[in-house]
Amino acid sequence: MHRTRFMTIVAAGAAALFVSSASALDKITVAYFLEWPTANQVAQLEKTYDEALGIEVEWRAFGNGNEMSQAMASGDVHIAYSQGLVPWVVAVSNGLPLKLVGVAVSYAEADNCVVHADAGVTQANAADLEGKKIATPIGNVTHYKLLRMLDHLGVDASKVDMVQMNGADAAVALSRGDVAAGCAFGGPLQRMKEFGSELMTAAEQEAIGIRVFDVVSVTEDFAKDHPDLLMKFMAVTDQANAAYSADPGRYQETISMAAGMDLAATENMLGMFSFPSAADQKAEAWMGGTVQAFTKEVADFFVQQGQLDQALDSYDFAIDASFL
Amino acid sequence: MADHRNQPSALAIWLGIADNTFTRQKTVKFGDASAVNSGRLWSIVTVVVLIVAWWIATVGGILDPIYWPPLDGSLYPWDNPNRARPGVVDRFVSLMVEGYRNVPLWEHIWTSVKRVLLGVCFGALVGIPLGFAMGLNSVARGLLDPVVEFIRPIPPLALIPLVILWLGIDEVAKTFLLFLAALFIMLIAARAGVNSVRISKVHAAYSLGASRTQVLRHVILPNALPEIFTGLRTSMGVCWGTLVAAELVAADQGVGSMMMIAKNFLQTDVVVIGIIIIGAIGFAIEMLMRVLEGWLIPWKGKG
Repeated sequence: MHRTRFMTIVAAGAAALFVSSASALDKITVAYFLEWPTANQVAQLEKTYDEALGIEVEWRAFGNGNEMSQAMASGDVHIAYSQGLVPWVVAVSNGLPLKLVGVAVSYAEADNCVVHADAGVTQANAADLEGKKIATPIGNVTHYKLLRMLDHLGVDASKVDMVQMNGADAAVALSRGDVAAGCAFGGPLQRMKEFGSELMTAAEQEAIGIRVFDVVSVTEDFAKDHPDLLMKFMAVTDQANAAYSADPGRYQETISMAAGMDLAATENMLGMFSFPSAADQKAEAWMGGTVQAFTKEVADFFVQQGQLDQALDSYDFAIDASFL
Repeated sequence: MADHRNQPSALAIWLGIADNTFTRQKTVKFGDASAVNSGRLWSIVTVVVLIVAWWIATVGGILDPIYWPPLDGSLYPWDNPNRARPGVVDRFVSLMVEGYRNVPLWEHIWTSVKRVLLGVCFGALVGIPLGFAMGLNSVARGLLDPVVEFIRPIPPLALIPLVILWLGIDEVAKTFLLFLAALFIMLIAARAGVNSVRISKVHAAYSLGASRTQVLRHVILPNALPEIFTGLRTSMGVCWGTLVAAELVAADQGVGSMMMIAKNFLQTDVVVIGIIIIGAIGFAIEMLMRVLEGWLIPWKGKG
């Protein structure tokens, strides 16, 4: 309610500027990541979304999920496709009205931390990372995984010099040896692996209970005002996922073009991804309860690590599977 | 002589609501810029009104804390007291006491100030000699002109991708960006300083038998100093403005880094504190430079 009042003031002050965007929705804006190949990008490139929704769908690339949250707070972005769970948790914990309406992609191996070969750090002497620099996007899934790994390996995270860098920059820093380790997802992670090895493999991370998936999030206003558009968006996504699962080879080239990656890297990364179907997402294993519980776990962990000021008692209210 | 009983008090003059002795003697005031008083009273009113407006917005719960933080967290009427977040004042106290991400606030500030000072110092060390060379020697001018004129309009921020590749992400990279920002301002200021020396003074020195070195040391340098000092002031301001973006390269410490990381956690209060600190320090630097200028080059504007 405070937000609406604030928006009224803003709108009154700059009425002329806002008229065009406020009156009728003439296009929707979707945030996505480059170098992050997802099955629905076939629909993105072939304009299936535009046809099904009946309005223009504009895709805007972002560097990390927090930037997506901020763009959604300003009202310029309606849907974030493949926003990390952690930025979403951070946003909702701070009272931003965002809704989690679906699971975009589940991935464990496509997001990791790589230790530079010269640093000589393995799991056995992970404590040597204290006092060294690690490049990571802060407040993201990648950051969460890093903190969980350090916690598991007995490293005092407060003594590690964490440097805020998005993946592409972090890969450059790691290649120059400016940082002892770098964390990233997608294409930059592949480049990082040329200079070192992973601190923990995806399988080892899953064994200690780290789950990694990206979500589809929307602003509350959009979900309330245009549920029909949102349902169509989710339906097109589900169809694209199903079509891809049936015959991956057929679509990889299109996806690589949309993701801005070469074909080999796209194939490699798509191999690490799984896109749960709408039916699966509604089940217990995803939004039927597991996502809600895991979200709370992530929020509490961030509070315990001193990264987040406070967590909500429950995140159930912001997780809504009814648009699937 | 004016009637002494009608003299306004020193306080009224300081507040800018009464004319000082000099201005009182003027017959025409409108259109004469030197007759415009400081109007300090109105400056104070502005600041007070802004703070009171912020306080009212906080107490009335008019602004959503995500978009603009409350003045103090305890003043805001939270819908749910468990969800109370700190405001600017209480967050500032906690930043002073506990620091941000294990680094005390003063260390963030000192890191930033140090980067700016280093950038300006190196910029001056390289820029002033080059500017002098360009102003005094046709070979140097010819050699440097295309390079300077080509690089000067490029905003240092546009070079960030290259700087990361070449210099990495450590202090060197950040200082280098600020150095670039300062370099060309200093270079142009030094060149303009040389050009501003009155030729009659140079001739006078030569006719008194001065050598080239003596002309440089005793005529050109002192007369170019006011321009150079203006350059220093400008480059301090520009570097301070470039700082936040330079600290984006790889945020670890510094006020800009603090703001970038706080932004990822939607801690608007920390971002606003960062903005206030940057504004306050920029203001303090400008004031300090003005004092230094009056102290170091008292001959400014009298040549």
